[in-house]
Amino acid sequence: MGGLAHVMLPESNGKNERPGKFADTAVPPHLVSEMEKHGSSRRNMSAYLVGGASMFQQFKENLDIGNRNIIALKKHLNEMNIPIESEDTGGKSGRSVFFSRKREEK
Amino acid sequence: MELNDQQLDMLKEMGNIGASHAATSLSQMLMSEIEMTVPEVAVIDISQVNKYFGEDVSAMVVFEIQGEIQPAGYIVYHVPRSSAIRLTNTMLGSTDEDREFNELDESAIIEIGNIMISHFLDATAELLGVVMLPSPPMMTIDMALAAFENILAQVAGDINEIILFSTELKSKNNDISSTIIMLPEEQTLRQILGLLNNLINPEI
Repeated sequence: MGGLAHVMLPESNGKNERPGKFADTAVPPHLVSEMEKHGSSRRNMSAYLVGGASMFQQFKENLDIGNRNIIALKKHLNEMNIPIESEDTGGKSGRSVFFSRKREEK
Repeated sequence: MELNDQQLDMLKEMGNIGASHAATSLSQMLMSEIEMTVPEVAVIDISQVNKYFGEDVSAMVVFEIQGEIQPAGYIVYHVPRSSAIRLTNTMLGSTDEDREFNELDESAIIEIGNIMISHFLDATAELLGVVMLPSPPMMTIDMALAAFENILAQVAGDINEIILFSTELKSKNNDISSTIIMLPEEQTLRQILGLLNNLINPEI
């Protein structure tokens, strides 16, 4: 089983009307528990992290959100003992994600 | 945030004034006629932005709006890659379209964006009687959606809807299309609406 969360910001600060929007609400309470509801087990899960680019580093209001998202996600995954299988994060360019449940042949 | 018909009309008119000044400057730079669409103003949910921006690689010149309210929001000059090449070709007198986007192209697009957005903000600020200045420009060449998601993350912390202004500017002679997109912060938008309302219903 697989699931995908596309988060925008690292912390919800107590807002919970959009769990998918924030790293702290999207992954632990939402995605993982949804997957468990459908019969998956946390012990068998592993994660792929993609994204977190920062295109506009010069902005005064730049909050380095991409990087903070990555840090937050790693922290939450670590707390749940979900290993990170692979990641392609940071940098300056956007990424397209193609989601498939089939693992790449190694 | 809900906008009524009158508010939408006022915002379109403001966008129209700003965009027509930007179009005039583009027309002078290219020495060609520029067609401009009636500005669209849409309130869109952040989960729907992928319906407005695609994954086509585009050149985007991004500015923070600075002035009396901080942070005021962002304004973006968006040019699809092929149009961007034709745009700089037209300015630099080249005809080779089948080439990489180089440093000279980047700097030309930044400058074009800078001139146009400065005109856009000047005209709207003058109409409103406020100070609105563009920050120094930032350029990225990437998928439009990815760039807008980056900008959205900055504005949409507390809100789930954004107000999107967009106007398309086209040069038929040179087959160039481009878009000006404005993403005001909610408080800025409220102030703009208040000022526009005063313009329409002046207190005697």
